Amino acid sequence: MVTSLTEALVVGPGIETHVRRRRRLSFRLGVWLSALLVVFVTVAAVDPSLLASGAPDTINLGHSFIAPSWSHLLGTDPSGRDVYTRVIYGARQSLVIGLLATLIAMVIAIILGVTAGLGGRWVDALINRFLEVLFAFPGLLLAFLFVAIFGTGVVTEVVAVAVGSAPGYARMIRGQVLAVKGSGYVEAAYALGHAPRRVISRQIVPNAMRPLVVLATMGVGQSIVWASSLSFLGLGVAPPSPEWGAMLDAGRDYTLQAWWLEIFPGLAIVLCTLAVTSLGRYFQQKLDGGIGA
Amino acid sequence: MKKVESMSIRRKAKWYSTWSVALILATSVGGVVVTNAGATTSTIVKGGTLTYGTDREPTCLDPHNYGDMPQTYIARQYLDSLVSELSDGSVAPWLAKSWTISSDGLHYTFQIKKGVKFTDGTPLNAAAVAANFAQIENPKTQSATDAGYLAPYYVSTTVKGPYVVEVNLKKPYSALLDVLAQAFFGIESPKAMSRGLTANCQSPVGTGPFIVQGWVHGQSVTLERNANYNSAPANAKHQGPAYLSKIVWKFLEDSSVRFAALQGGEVPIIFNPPAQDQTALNADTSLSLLQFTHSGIPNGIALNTSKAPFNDVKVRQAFFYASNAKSALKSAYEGTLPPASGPLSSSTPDYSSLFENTHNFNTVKANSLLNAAGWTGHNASGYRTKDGKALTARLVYSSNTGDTPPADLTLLQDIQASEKTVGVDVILVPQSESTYFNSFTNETNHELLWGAYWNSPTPAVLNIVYSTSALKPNLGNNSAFTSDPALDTILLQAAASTVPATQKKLYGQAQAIVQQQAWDLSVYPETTRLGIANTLSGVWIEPSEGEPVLSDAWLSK
Repeated sequence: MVTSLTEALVVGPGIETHVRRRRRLSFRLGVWLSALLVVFVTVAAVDPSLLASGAPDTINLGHSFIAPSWSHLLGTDPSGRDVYTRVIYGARQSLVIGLLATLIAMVIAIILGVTAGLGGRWVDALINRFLEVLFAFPGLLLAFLFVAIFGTGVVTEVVAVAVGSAPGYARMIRGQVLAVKGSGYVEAAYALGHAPRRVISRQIVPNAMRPLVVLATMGVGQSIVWASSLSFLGLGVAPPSPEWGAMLDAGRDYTLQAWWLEIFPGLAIVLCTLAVTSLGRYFQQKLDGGIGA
Repeated sequence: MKKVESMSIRRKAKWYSTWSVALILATSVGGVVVTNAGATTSTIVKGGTLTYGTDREPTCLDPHNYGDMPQTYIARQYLDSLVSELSDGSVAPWLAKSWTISSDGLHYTFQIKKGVKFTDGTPLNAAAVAANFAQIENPKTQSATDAGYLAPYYVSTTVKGPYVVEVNLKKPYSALLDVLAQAFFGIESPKAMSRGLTANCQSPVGTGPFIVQGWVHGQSVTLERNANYNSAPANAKHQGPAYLSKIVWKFLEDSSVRFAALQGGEVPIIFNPPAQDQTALNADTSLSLLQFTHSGIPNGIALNTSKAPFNDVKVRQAFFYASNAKSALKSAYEGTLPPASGPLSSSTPDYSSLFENTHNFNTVKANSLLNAAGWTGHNASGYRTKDGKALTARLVYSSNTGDTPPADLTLLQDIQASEKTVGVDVILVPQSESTYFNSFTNETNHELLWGAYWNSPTPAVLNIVYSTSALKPNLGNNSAFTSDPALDTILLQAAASTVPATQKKLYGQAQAIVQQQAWDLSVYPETTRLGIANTLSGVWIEPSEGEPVLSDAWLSK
């Protein structure tokens, strides 16, 4: 994900206009659908009772393994719980975990990235080596390590995902800070005699933070996938939470018998991540356009 | 082309010879033609590598250390015990060819089989057997299971002659022989044991039909045939070396993966096929199921009586009534497992059926008991309160799927939902396996504990699980943290008695106390269920611990 982000940010203006227009037109439908889905998921997260009438943990032992039908849109699980209701209620946890994890990752990344970019050669070298050590481990492995030390649970899951994804963001922010630091307008500001503190707060940091909107949006998608992965492996939230990854985990032994237990939570993760990511890419394109204009 | 032709001729020739031999043997000898449960009939084939797919990896291959079920299942393949349990509850000679019991029940004298050697060349004799008891008793061995069985009764082991050994007890213990039949008490080479616990855990040495060749942690243990095996138990299906040349004991934690491996023909035998695939297993004519219901304490939830809210018997009984455990079991295991309701599994000697329905689902009784216990308030979430404190219970379980398969998780959530209807807030707390094991002896961080079973051939196990002497020494001993002097007395009297009627009466009284006190919510008996492909024959399950026996098994080509 980070690699593609890095590549995407490098793609700047200079693509021929007609090609661009056509791409934009086809992109629009996707953007609208994505926006619609994000709104739907947000409503589900804010007030799930608007979209589902029952409660996600109401057990009905006489109604287990009912295939999708009008009475149970997405079927029922072994305990007779309605899968649709659980998927809707699961949106809150999945989205909140995704948002919070991204937020924490960003805070860690900004502190590390900006300090490295502005802190001088030694500080930069130190932080860079530290980040390189973290890069030696895949992000999800860092998250595993965190869970292994601090145990399972929602809070650990959020922090674990944040810790796992922060190094990638930190490296990007450092790059942005360095790029902005060397730009003409910063030089001009210094030449005009502005104090370094003022240049940092007024010029460097705000300009370096612009691509963060894109990073953050796309990061939410990534965090949702990672959090689901942790829950799927039994390292996330405890049952009977309807978190999507946990639902996937609970249903995996019943794949042949009750396919709906796997397909629908899986689809929820895929669609939600796709929607958030494609919105992120749309913002990124807007931003590139803005820079190019 | 030529190659193919010659192959088909060879196959035909083999088919011909196999059937002619089978026919001759069937008419002349009779007993040699063996039919496995649901499998095809064929003659015994020697050689071949068998892969056995199981759920949990043992922590140590020496079953004297710690003593968890995965250890006993594998240890049966390379360790022999002094005696072998029979399905009628009596024992047959094994490494002990005979024995006598003193009239006061305090001295057991065993005559050890001669001419038997451990696979490292050490001879089996009385001194070797005494060294095993010494290792079991040594606190450094960290024996949870063996010490649980022996410590309250054991004094010493005396070598009376080169092949005569005497076990001395301080109190009579009528269950001793059944206890010694378990692979937990398998006899190991003293030379191998002297290497120290770490080396012995990796490759224990016995006199058994197979030899531990290697253990790749996280993957498998490889066992090789002991070509000199001459010490099979009297109840074995054949004497002499095993038929298989090698066993790969493979760890396939995920039950659906295990079943797929069985169905796909990669693994001819798996431990505990998942309940949700029972229909598929029944429908597949190339597969069969061998099932054994363990005796002992059924699997269930231990109620922590050391603190509120379960230090109050009324709350414990209310928890039983509100659990609806039978329906939860039916939903989670789709009817493949029988329910367990009393303190003992129904296959245990002296089991009393009086308690099967004493705590059936009854919210009216649960509510009135909770009211009587003073939990009369209700908070905003609908849970009961007393003195401003909510009726909350943290239920801990292992997050390892081998320990807690998905069906168990469904079961726990069903019980959680059912308890909610009477205002009890059960919070499910997954723990890493090591933290979970620690919870067995540390009462501070949980109110309920899932997985409190103890498989045992004897009702004397009640002493390990509920007596004051078993309070907190080891994992699995007294998980409810109880102490009842009246029960202690009854259990000691029962262990000392050799009169079946007296034992039945005393164990009946003990079960009544345990059930009335509601210390453990029994949910289902532990089972050894083996999914077997019809290419594998001769597998049987021994009845002391439900250990699969592979020394009589063979693979047809």
